[in-house]
Amino acid sequence: MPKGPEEELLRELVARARDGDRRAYGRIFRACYEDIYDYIARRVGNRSDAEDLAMQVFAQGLKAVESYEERGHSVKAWLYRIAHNAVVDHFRTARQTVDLAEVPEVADARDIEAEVSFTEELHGVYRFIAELPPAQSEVLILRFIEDRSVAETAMILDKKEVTVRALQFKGIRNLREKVEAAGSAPGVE
Amino acid sequence: MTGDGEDRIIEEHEELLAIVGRIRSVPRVRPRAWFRFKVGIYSRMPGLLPEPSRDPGTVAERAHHSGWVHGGFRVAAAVCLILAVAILTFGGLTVAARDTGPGDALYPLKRARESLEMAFTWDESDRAEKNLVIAETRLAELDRLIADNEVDSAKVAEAAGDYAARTSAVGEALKARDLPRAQQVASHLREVKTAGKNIGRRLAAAGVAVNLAPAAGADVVIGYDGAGTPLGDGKKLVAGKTDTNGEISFSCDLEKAPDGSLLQATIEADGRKAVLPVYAPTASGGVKATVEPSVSCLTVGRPAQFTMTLESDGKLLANRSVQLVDTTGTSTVNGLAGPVTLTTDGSGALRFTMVKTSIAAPSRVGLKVLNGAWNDAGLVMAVGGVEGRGSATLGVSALSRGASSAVLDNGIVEVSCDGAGSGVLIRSVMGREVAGRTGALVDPEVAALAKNGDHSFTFEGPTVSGNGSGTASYRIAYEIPCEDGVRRKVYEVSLQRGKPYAVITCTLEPAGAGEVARLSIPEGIGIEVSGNKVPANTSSEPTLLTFQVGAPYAVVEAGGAFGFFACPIDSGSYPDAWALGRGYLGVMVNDTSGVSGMTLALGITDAEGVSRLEASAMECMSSDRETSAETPTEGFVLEAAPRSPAAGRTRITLTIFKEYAKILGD
Repeated sequence: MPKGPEEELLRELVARARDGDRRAYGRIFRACYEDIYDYIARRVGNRSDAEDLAMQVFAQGLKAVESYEERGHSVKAWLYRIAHNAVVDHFRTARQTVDLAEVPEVADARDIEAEVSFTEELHGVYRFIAELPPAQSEVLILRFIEDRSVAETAMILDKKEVTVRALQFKGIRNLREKVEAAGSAPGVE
Repeated sequence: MTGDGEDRIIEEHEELLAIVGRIRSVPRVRPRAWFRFKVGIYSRMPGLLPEPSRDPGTVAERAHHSGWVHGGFRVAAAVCLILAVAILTFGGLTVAARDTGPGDALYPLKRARESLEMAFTWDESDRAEKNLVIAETRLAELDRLIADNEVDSAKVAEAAGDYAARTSAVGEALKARDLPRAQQVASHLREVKTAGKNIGRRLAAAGVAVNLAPAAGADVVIGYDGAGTPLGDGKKLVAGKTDTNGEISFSCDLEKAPDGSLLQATIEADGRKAVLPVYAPTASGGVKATVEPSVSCLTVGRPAQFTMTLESDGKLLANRSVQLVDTTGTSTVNGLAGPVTLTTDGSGALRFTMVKTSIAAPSRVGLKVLNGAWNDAGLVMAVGGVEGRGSATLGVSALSRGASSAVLDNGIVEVSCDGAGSGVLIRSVMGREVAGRTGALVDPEVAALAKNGDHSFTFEGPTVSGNGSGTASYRIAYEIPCEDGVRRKVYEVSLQRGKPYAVITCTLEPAGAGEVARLSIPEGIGIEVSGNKVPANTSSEPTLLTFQVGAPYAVVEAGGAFGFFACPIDSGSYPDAWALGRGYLGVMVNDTSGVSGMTLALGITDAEGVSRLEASAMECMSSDRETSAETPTEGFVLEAAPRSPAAGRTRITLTIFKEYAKILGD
């Protein structure tokens, strides 16, 4: 189980939130939203949806925290799981599918400054992660960008640990092939 | 294992580790400043968080319903603190954001400020008033988008959506509660809605909202009014009928149009008669008049409000006395048939109400400016008129909501398509999701491709056709890569007047012998649907599969063969994505010929079954939606291109639309 002062604080806050302390939940929200937002943004590929979904996640969290049960995972992993489900739901309802590769063509021309910074963040090796089959890319994002353990990743994605390991292995291999194929082409690094 | 083998494994392991290192170095996606601010607020007031289900209402609305009740005074105290912080921090920025519109960088701040203000308004009447003021702000933004020629669907949708949400919230509040000052609120709401309707007409003319049907076969006579000025080739009049697109073209020498003349079109179609201005040489009096709304046609007897802004030599004519008069005597200005004296305000604007009283001629409103004496500034406004109720009812309407998004509505069923690129053909049959009864109708093949982004699509429409059929439709054409190149899959989704279902037609191009594809029946292959044999497609002609949402049957036209195929509805065989629920078809059937990968969407039944199911679909719908297939007619919208004279003879194309009142949002 993940330890450390941050996790200890989050656990304490969750315990208080479970007892109905909304301010404690607010603090969890502030402590975790950047990570959750990053994860959602990578999955859905645009800021507006990511912002909407992040808010949904915290709203769902607020409802769910009352029945929060300690199951050996970190508090953040619990939020990632809600986020993952929200993303799956988002794609299922298929409001709009935006491929990460399309992000540079965001219609909001006046918001260029904000969007450019996002697309820059998507350059480099991440571009190739986004091109992987979704099951592999979501594992790589959780494992190495969001820094979740295999056990947590398995819990978040509702997969077996062995499946997560296999997807991780395949993902890294495929990624290496893509990076190698691109060689030293500009934009890869 | 050889040493080489081990080396290779170690090498590979190191390479993989290097890749992991690179993944770990991917920078974080930073939330936008506004979102961070929003989190700051919400995390201190979690009660303001939106309900977990997706809800079309605004955050502020949801906050009102969900949050405050629980938080009590502690939250209120926190709110005051946050408000103070927010105002101190963002006050300056939001002031700067005040004049922004959709798409501007500071626009979200403007909206945020409104949400904040709403969140701190408790009194129901105050909330209603505030909603109306905000709705008016949205209209002003739409007005500006039109004026700046920036009618971008996404921007329009952003402002128009909020306008609709706020006016309907006020309408609901009026209905649901005994509002203090209810009369005042109701009258304000009426004003806002009238203004909204005007903006809607202008947006419609700009091609955004489609409740226009091409006036096909309309009788049109074009010529200069009164004096009998020739059109440039000796002819004084051009007469003809519009084609199926409502278009009619003629040649004319606009440069030779005499001052004070007006090129006009007289139109008769669908039991309505109209006279519309086509072109008037610019006024010569040195005064530039901008009229809003810039409508070309008024319904006889129905008052319309206009705002006219006057400029001379680039300066606004502020606080000046002016006179307006319709020289044709076919309309009244502020209730008077003769000259009306008005004074412009500090920004050179004057407001007046006009009523078209006759369609004998387009109204030609002349302007005189008091400058020591009354100086004639010439013709400043030409407005046509339409009369007659119209013989046809359209009963369908369509609204475009972006490059690949549309809503169709026939008063019974409302279907919408959001983001055709994802394979969604219909999002819901009622404009909203109802568990177990509606859902997204998706082409799974396209959805799979969309995931990888390796497909392309074009979205056409929506279009409305009013000629007898009363049909609104849109088309999505997907280019699907396959072994032999590219396959095209074209869907047409349409709604017809009075029908409780949408019709979806899918065609595949090219269709050939032996082609195995979803939604196609290859030559020589028979299929079986729940025990009922479907005859083999004996032709290599394109296979046409029509299935109808709202009535669980499909019509298959294969190489000219035609028939209904019986298939009991078995909810167990509904694919998830197509689960439209009771009475709303969606059955996935696999072929029995052993050809892999072929899937058909099929339904049922004989003619009697069809009517029975239609009836049950109607019943099903009517509990949620009042059926009103009658659409009152409005008038004509005329577009002329080009609008200004080119050298020599100009070929002008007039496009004439019949305009119908929208069903949507009414």
